[in-house]
Amino acid sequence: MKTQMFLIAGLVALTALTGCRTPTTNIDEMNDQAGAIAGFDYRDINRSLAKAVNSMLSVGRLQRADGGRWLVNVMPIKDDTTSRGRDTGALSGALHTSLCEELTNSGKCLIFNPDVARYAQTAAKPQLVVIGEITSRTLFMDNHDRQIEYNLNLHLIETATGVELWQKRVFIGKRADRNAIY
Amino acid sequence: MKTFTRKEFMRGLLVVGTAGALAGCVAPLQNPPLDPRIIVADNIRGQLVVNDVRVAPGLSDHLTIQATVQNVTRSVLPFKYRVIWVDDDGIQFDSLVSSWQFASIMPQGITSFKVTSPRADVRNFRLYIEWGK
Repeated sequence: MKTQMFLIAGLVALTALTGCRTPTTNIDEMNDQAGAIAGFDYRDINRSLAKAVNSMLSVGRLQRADGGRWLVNVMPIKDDTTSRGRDTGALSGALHTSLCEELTNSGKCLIFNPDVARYAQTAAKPQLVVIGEITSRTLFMDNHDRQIEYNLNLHLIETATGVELWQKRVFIGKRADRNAIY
Repeated sequence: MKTFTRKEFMRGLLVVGTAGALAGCVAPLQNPPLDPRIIVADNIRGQLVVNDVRVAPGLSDHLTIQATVQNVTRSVLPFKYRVIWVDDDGIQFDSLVSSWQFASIMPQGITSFKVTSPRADVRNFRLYIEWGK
């Protein structure tokens, strides 16, 4: 009788625990209804780069008189966020690749690849360079919750003259519980 | 001069009150007949009015769309928007510029937002606005 009771209790506990598990789902990037997270997730990457690219394209600094394309060296985006130790290179890589993609798709730029160019017989010289970094700063609110401030800073510079043609700081701010992990 | 009984006075007061109440219940401010390219979701229609949408190249040869929207409620209204850019054939360009962007408007407030096309050869757009935090 005692054994049966234990078995029933075990089954009930197992059922309850199984019922509490979050089922695995795929993320629909275009219609993600999940709430915000304290970290800098893919939605923040997309939002911040969208703002930066909007700004860059709207000011018209990428227009060439001859209608040609710029050869642009997009330097790796320096990840200076506090979460850099856990996903080394992931955030930086995502920002870099997405920025290159947007510049290429704009029809105004070709991307210079320095790693391959060193083996090229006739290496082209980039006319523009994009330098960028992402930083984060955590502040504590009066109730000790956290305010996390992410800043994506980008600069577009003409290599021949060093003239900075465009620059943009994109701010993404979050407020989260003091125990939030990011 | 005609004098009114108390009953007639009360009836008149009721008529005037009802008329006043009905006048106060005029149809709420609605979105004006909009360009079909501007799609306001049901979950925010009636709370947000699109006052103005204009598209121009601005300083570059890329089109920039600017929309001015108004919060007609008495509370802060969070919303999200995205612009899909399409070519002559109606094929949309995949771009981060078309990601959802989040914003909010103060009670009875008005705000504008701008989105620039990812390419110079886009010909058309679709603007989506939804409630969202």
